[in-house]
Amino acid sequence: MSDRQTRALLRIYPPAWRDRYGDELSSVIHEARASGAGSSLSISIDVLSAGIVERMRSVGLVGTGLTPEERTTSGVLRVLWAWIIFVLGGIGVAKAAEYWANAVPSASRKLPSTAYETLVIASLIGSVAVVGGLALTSRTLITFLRQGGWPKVRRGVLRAAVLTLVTAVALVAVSGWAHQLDHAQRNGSDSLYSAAILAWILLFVSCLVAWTIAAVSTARLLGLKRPVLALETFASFAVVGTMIVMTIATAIWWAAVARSAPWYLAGTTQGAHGSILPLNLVVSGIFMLAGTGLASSGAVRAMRNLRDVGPVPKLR
Amino acid sequence: MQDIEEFAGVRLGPGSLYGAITRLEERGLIRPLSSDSRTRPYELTSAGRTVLQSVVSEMRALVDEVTSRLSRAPRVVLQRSGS
Repeated sequence: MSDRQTRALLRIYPPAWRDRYGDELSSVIHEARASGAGSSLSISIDVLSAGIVERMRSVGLVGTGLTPEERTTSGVLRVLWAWIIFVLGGIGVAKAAEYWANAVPSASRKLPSTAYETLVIASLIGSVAVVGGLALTSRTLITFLRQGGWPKVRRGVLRAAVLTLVTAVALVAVSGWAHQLDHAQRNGSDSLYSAAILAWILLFVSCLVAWTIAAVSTARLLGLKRPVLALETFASFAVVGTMIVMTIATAIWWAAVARSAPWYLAGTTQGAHGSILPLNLVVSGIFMLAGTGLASSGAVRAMRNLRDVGPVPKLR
Repeated sequence: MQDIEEFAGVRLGPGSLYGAITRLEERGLIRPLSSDSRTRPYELTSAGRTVLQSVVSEMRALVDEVTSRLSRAPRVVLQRSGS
């Protein structure tokens, strides 16, 4: 394994970890190869998987903190990550459900309509809980920044800000393009436009992930106290509750539309046969279920560790 | 890595080894020593020694318990087959 390959492998680790252990790990990799302790492939797999774990630990997805405060924060941050995964699934459902009301006969519209409205209302409540959870840290964040914390979080925040700017500019460009196309071209017949939309979606997802990484990296440095952690844990359970409601509502909407207008889900003309399990909805459903599961485990982790965090100081 | 393989019979890859080193150092159980070579040696801290002694004691107690039950096992089997 060449130096270049080793350096490429180490890129999977977070920068702070590389600064501390990168040189040591690099020499151990070379030793392992020289002594025949493993093939290049097995060493690469081992280093890659360990690097992914370190990356996930650095953004609060896995790992054990040293103190109950850190473990509680980690549980709450897992819920934030889960929310992002869930949102991606939700976007897929929203896209798939764009014109459903026109396809379903009015006599059969009550159940899917109620389910879809429940989904929308729950998504609003969930968004408020997430924004509220972030707002709860604002006072501690201001203190942290005043005490010289900005250089520690600057890199992540600037990266997310630049991505947001690029995403916004790309949106304006794609929207301008869309106005020059007809309905059929906007819905798949123009492959170049479809590729541009896909690229923009990837940009949007990168933007969401970059802000989440920035928020998580910052939150881990704040040293949140028990009253804030208790409220964050409460907000986490509220978010989990809305996720469960949205997942159930989506399932009901899906089943109701599948019964009364299966051709809509199949993307075919009225009366034609087709699958009621379109790939986009299946993938969206998997994202929603994965997000709900991850969020539940995060909220439970936060609650379990909150018990060990010091008591709320008495007000005088 | 060779040392670990010789005494424990487990082959650790470089990534797994440094994952373990990261956790142990974070918990204050080991600390790095200065070294001129590219590979860095580590040593146990006093907290690390205490934790290791505690783990060894627990393992010893487990081994004693299992050994004791194994020595009683044949009699249990005989009683059951005789009844």
